[in-house]
Formats: sequence, structure tokens, C-alpha cells
Amino acid sequence: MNAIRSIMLAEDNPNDVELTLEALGAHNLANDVVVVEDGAEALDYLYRRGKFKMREAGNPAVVLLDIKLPKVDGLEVLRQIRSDDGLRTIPVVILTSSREETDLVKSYSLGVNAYVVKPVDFKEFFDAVKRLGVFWALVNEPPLGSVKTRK
Amino acid sequence: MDAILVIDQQGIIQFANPAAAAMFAGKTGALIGTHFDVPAIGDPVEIPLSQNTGISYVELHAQEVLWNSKPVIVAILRDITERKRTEEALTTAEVRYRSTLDNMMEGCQIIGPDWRYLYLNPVAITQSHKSKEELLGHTMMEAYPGIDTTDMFSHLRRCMEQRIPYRFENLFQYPDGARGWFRLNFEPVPEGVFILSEDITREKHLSEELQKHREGLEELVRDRTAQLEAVNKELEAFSYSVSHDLRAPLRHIDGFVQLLNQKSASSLDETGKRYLSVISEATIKMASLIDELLVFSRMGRTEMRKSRVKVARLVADVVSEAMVDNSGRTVSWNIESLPEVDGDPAMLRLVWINLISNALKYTRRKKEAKIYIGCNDGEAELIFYVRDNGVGFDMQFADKLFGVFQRLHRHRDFEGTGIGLANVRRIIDRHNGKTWAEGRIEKGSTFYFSLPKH
Repeated sequence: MNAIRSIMLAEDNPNDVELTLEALGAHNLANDVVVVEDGAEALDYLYRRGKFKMREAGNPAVVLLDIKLPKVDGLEVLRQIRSDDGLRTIPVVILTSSREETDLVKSYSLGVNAYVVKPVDFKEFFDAVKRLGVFWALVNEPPLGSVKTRK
Repeated sequence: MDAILVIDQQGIIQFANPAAAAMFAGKTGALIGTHFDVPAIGDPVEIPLSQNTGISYVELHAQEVLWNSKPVIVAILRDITERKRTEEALTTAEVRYRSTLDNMMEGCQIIGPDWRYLYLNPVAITQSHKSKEELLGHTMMEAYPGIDTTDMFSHLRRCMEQRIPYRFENLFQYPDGARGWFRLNFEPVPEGVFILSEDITREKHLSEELQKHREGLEELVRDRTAQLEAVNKELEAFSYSVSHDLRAPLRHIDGFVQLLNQKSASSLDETGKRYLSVISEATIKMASLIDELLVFSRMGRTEMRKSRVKVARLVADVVSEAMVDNSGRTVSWNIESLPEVDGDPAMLRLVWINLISNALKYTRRKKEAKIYIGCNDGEAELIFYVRDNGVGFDMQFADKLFGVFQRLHRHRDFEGTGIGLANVRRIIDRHNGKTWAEGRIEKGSTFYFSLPKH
């Protein structure tokens, strides 16, 4: 059974997962992260179905979403989150490889909270992810219904 | 005054009035007693005269009557010379008109009120695909059964009944299945309807051919446009994939190099650490090349948003921004008055950023950099230039300057990726202008671009 974590990371590339967790680990946030590897799994987690059927209720404090995901892409996951009454309030951050204008425009029109291009330079990447984790998991007051684990 | 003769049963003239004397060029006395042949009794007849009186035709109306209890013939003769002459003239005219009709290039027919063919010229007969005998005197319905149900016939009927001319183009279907296009002219005439028909089948075929070609051409243009759009989409997909998929492994390389640096630094010697920093720098460099290539590709694809651009203001902005990064340097700027142009402001800004930052870069080793910016007002175009007193270049490589990733300087002398001037050329191309450069080694360079005046 998966314990409820405060950050959901939807990312299919294991290298990116590792680097992201590394960055989040700098603030001891890594243990609060649940990683899903495609869009369908992300939705399963949020809707508590499939292999997440038995997880405890509650929404993550933030969803870090890659755009290029297998099965269901990130923009579709975002669209479904924003059109569901129970999920709509979850903060969503798009974490992507490129600043492709059409993706940027679509993301904001679907109501994303932030759009972050992963810098190639690891130091910058590290800083960016760390700040994201700290802000959304520690600083920001999440909407009611979210689960936040305090260290 | 009619001439009157009274002739007895022996054919001897018994009486003649003065008009008769005048008609026969003699005295009344001279006529009496002479013989006169009456050609016919009852209906009037026309007879020729040759008496040198100017009267060449008379109409003779003879009746038997009793005169002094004896049967005689009274002949009344009327001068019809004038009428005859008019009739002859009319006949001549008719023959002439007829021959004109006969020889016309168009088909001519006259249809009577009972739909019978009254006249057809040879062209009309050719057009009919029938013989003259099959048509003349026959009705149209006899010649072409069912013709009275066609639109053409209803136009003809209207012309016949309402006496209104009508002109139209008609596709005629022959009984044998053949078809022909005709330009038809219906004219009401006293005899019925005069039809002028011009065979335009060939003309129609040509214009249909032409139409087909035109449609073919349009289809070709549509196909090509679709192909271009497909290529464009492909390019977009390609650049998306470049920006997305190529950057990710670079990020991973740099990320794990850094992790290695952080976590295993103790087991690396100085050489090992230097290798790691080279790897890291190379990945960052490659990432910036990818980014610049994407900007370059976007520069060629994005839609132009043209507006009026105040070049003087734009240049002043770009210069002051550029000087922020070169605050320690002595640069003398000579900026002439610059006009307004029509163009995409963001793109033109990029042009000036590239040219001005290049001028600053390549004058870096001069104690005092001198940069001149101006515009020559030509007849059809405006020619802008940026001149500097920098390191210059060898003119034989002038064309290489504007190529993608083409550089004339070693990286250790002057940093850069070699995409700046390629962007300048692409942007000016899209504004229908030209780009070129002049320079000499160590004597500075001048970069020009032209924009057409509309």
C-alpha cells in the first residue's frame, strides 16, 4: 500500500526521476514524493483506482507533470484535473524539457499554476526543482483535502 | 387613265380611246380597223409591249359584252410598267439576299408558324445532319421527333408567339446520339422565325479544355500547398523533438557529472575533475547550440507581424542595452538619423541586436571602438549599415559570414556560435531585403541590409 505523499511526480524518464529526487532530497522532500511513470498512472493515483485503489484518500500538495508522457500526455492529465470537482484545486506545475510555445500557451489556458523548463545546467536544474519542492510542499498552504507530511 | 379597246368577233378593233392611242403610239383612227389578239378572256393577264412609248408591260382585262346587239370584247389595258420594274428589282434583291444567306458561315433557317422548314442555307443543312429534302416543307417535329419537348423549342415557341428575339447557347442532341454546341439567334420575321445558328462545339471544347487545365492547375497548387504544409508540420515536429528529446540526455549527462563531482570528488584526481568540467561545459555548449538552432528555425517559420517601426528608437534601445554588458569600454557611437520602416518589430530588433553586438564584440581589442550606424535612402530601397573599426575580415570569406554556424574567428579569440548573422539574413530575406558585408583584416567591417520601400 502506498502511503500518501505530498508531491506527485509524473515522469517516465528514470534519469530525470533520479535527478529530480536528488534535488528534492536536498531538503528532505524526496520521501514525500510519489512517482508515476505515465499519464494513465497519474490519473489512477489521483482517482484512487487501479493499483492505487487502496491508497488513503487525499490529494497531493502539488503535481509535477512532464508534458511528454506515455499513454496519456501531461496536457491531458492537466485537463482532466481541472475539469474534475474533486481535483480542480490541486496545484499543478508543468516540468518540461523545452519551452515550446504551443505547449506553454495550452498549459496556461488549461489553468496550470507554473510552467518550468528544466535547465540543461544541473546546478540550475537542481535549484529550480529544489525551490519548487520547497515552495509547493513546505511554503504554500495547499487547498483543503491535501495531505501534507510534516517533517 | 386606262386604255380601252372594243374588238369585234373577227379580232378587228372597232373602238379605241385616246389613252389607247397613246399606249400604242398612234392616233385613235389608226388603231381602228387593225387586228388585235386577245390572249385571254376573264382573268387579267400581263402582256409585254414593245411600242417605244416607254410602256413595256400592261395588264389586260378582257370581257365579252354586247355592243349594238353584237357580242364584242372590251379590253381594258393598264400600264403596269412601273409595278413590273419594282417587282423585278425586288426579285433581284431577293436573289441577292438569298445568295448572301446561302453563302453565310452561320446556319440560317426560316421556320413557318406551323413549324415547317421554309428555308435552310447549306450551312444549316450541314448542321442538321440531314438532307435538304428531309427538312424543307416538313415540320421540326417530323424531322426531329421529340424536339417540341426541349428547352430550345420552348424558346422558339415564345419567339414565334410573342415576337421577341432570343439569343442563347444550346447543346443540341442529334437522333444518333451526337451532340453539338450552337449559339442560336431567334428573330421574329413575317414568315415566322429566322434562326441564325453558329456551331461553337469546337469553341466549347476548347474552353472546357481550358477549364480542365485551370482546374488541374488549381489542384496542383492545392497539392503543392498541402505538401508544403506537411513539410512545415514535419519541420515543426522535428524541431519539437530536437528541443525536447535532445535536451533531455544533455541534462542527464550534466546532472550525473555534477552528482559524480559532489558524491565521488574524493576518489577523483585533478585530471579526472578537469575531464568532468569539460564534459559539463560541452553539454552546456551543445544545449545552447540546440536552442539557437531552434530560434533560427522558428525565425523562418513564424508568421510575420508587420507594423510601422521607428528604427531610430529601436537602435537607441538596443545600443543602451548592449552597453550594459560593455560598461567598462570606450565606444564612440555615430548614429545618423534613421527612418521609419514597415516590418516585424521583434524580428528587426533581433537584426539590430546581432549587428550591434557583433560590432561591439569585434572592436573589443581597440582602445576606442568607433561604431557608425546610418541609412542610405535609395530609389526603391533603404540601405542600413553598421560600420566598425574592429578586426575586420578577409573579403574572400564574405559569403560565409551569413551561413549557419559559420565562423571566421577562432572561439578563443571571439566567442559565439555563428548563428547571429544567419538569423539576420533569414529575417531580412523574409522582409524581401538583401544582406551583405564589406571588410578588410584589421581595418573594420561594414554590415549592410536593405529593406524595400513599398
